[in-house]
Amino acid sequence: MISYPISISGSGLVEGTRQRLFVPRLDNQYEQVLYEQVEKKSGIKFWNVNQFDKEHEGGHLDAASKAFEDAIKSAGLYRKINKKLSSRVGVVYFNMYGPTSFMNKEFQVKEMYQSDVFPAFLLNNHNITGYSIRLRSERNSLFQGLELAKTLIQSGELDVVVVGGVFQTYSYLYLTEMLASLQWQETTKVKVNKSKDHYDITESAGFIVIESGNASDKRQQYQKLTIQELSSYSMLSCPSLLDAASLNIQFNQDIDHCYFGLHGRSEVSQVERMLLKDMYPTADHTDVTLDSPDLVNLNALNIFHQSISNNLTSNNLIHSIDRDGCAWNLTFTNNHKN
Amino acid sequence: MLSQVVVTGTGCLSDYAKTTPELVEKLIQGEFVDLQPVFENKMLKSMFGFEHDVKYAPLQETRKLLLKQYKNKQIKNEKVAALVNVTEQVLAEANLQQDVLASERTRVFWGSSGNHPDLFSFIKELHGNEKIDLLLNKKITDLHADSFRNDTLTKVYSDYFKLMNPILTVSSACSSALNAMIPAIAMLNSGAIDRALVLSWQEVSKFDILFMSGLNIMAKSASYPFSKDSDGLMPAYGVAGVMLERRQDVGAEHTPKFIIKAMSSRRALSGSAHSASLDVSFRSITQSMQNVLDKAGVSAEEVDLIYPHGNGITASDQSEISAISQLFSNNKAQIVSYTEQTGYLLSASGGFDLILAKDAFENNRILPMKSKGSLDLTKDLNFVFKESKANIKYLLKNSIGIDGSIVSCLLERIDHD
Repeated sequence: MISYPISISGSGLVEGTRQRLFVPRLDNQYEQVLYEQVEKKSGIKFWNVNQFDKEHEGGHLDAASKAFEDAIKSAGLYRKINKKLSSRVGVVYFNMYGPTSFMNKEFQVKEMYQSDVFPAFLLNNHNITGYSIRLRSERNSLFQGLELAKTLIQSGELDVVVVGGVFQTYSYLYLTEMLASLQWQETTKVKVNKSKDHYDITESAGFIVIESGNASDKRQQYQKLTIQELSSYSMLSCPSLLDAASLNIQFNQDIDHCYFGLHGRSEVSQVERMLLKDMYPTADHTDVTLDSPDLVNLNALNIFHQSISNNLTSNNLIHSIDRDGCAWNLTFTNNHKN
Repeated sequence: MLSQVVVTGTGCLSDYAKTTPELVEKLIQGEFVDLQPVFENKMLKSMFGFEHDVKYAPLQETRKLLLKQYKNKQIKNEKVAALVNVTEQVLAEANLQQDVLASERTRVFWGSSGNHPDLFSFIKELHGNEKIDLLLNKKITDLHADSFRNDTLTKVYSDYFKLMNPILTVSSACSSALNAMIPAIAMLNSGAIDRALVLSWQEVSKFDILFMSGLNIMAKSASYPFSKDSDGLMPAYGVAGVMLERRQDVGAEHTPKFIIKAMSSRRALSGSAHSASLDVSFRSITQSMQNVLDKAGVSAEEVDLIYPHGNGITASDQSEISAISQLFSNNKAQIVSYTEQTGYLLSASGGFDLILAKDAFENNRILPMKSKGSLDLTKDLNFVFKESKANIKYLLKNSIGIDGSIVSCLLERIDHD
């Protein structure tokens, strides 16, 4: 068992650029009923959906391919995964809802296969033969993926793990998802506020490259971010979000920047902001979905991606909570290269 | 120094057997699973373009019974009821109380493709344009995000057992069971946890049937692994559970007979941009088996028993048997495959074989296999058709996933002398 820092040495993110305002189809009662129910409960009338543009990003698998390649290039691994390294590199892939591709009504078996099982072309394109797996988790996917990557690296199973996935927008899913989230809010005693009449949501594909400090040193590759701590918290014994252990914990290091709001609901973000401000009053606090579109399961990945292009050296905290009954805290350091 | 990881409890559920003892007993009796047609309705069958009566073992009746059984315990989901039932079997065999699952030192892993929607509900939705349909058709709720989210299931299971840690659900198609054991063993070795419950399962939904038919791997007439007469696989819904613990932590009530000596997981690369494991080469499988032997420091000649993957797809079976022939050419190793009898248990297949491996080590025997096919792909390999006594030292298990994943696992007898 080797214990050394786990680093992020590269990232790639592709976001959908085809902007459209979602309007329920007149010939689909189910969609209309869902839309009305969400509007009634949350006040959201305008769903601004950014989808993958066939002329720019292509389909979701094309976007995944581009984001994956960008991450590999950014980590300095492009065309460098040789025979020796091939079995030491693995991939942890996730998508939001499993086999959702048949929702495009085209019933393309290849699409279903690639989305549901594993986009094996990512491995073929980059000569990767190590332990690679699809993770089934939703908004907290990246945290589970990072925990898995850390386990695989520290046990010596792999040297490098590429973690990431795809989020696709399907009206049935984001509408019912919102309904279920509103219901979850009520159970966690976070009152629903109807102040916001619009919601921005964006299709995206993103990956980050994780490796041990040791491995990146060997490659003389600069470690852009260092993951310090990663912890999950059960929400089982929390009658209210205010009691969440994840929001009432003091880390040993100074925190310069707190990121939250990964859940997408502003009322949940407000609770997170309030408690994190109590814990870290001098830090900057950023609600990642306040002025930016919701990337759903890729919100955390977006934070890493942005941090890599940031010039600051800082200690950061990401807090995430979802209705799966778990909350996560992740602290990382941005090692800006002078 | 890595810890030695042992299996302290097992449990299973399928149309073939509802418990581990029943699984063993049915194999001793040489029984085969009862398969049923996927489409009882001829119109639906032709709507999906099926010319043949494809068959499967969907665990329908048992799931309904389990749902009734667990309803008073507030479990209203058939899939979770099945998982809870198998978990209870595992805990009982491991002599553990239910509250060990609520410990921070326990993790639960699922090797599974996870929650699936019902494809028929989606098709109904496409045609269900009247508001009245929404009111009358309960199945339309299957379109809800909860029917797609895996968290829907993990949350109910976690709440029931009061889990302190999130469930890690990993999927690599039909090698999921063994691939889920790799992070479990890594966490045990690191000391991060004391117990790992690995549950592998896969529902056989109409979505899966359509998907597998699209890939032309569903059997039209017969599924006989390692036989030229076989024209595909016959899927079965199965749940398998194993409790993994470090050998040094196991109480005196257990005398484990084997350890998980080494595991190897790799991906087969394909020349094509979009690969499927239908073209997993025998070379990749050979490398996987060689890799696990190298990791363990064991030679091919020392392996006594092999559980191949063997799914009934001729191309896949041919590759695997060629790999075994090449690597074990000078070997006396015996080979046994129960897939034809149990049905092809998809993600859970590796889990079921691990349960049978426990029986082989504990009772010094190899349960015989039966086949209705000719096994003409197997050349001169030693398949076991009669129950035999065997003092197995090393047992090798392979699993192959349609996503190109290959896992090999080597088990070693513990010498208690």
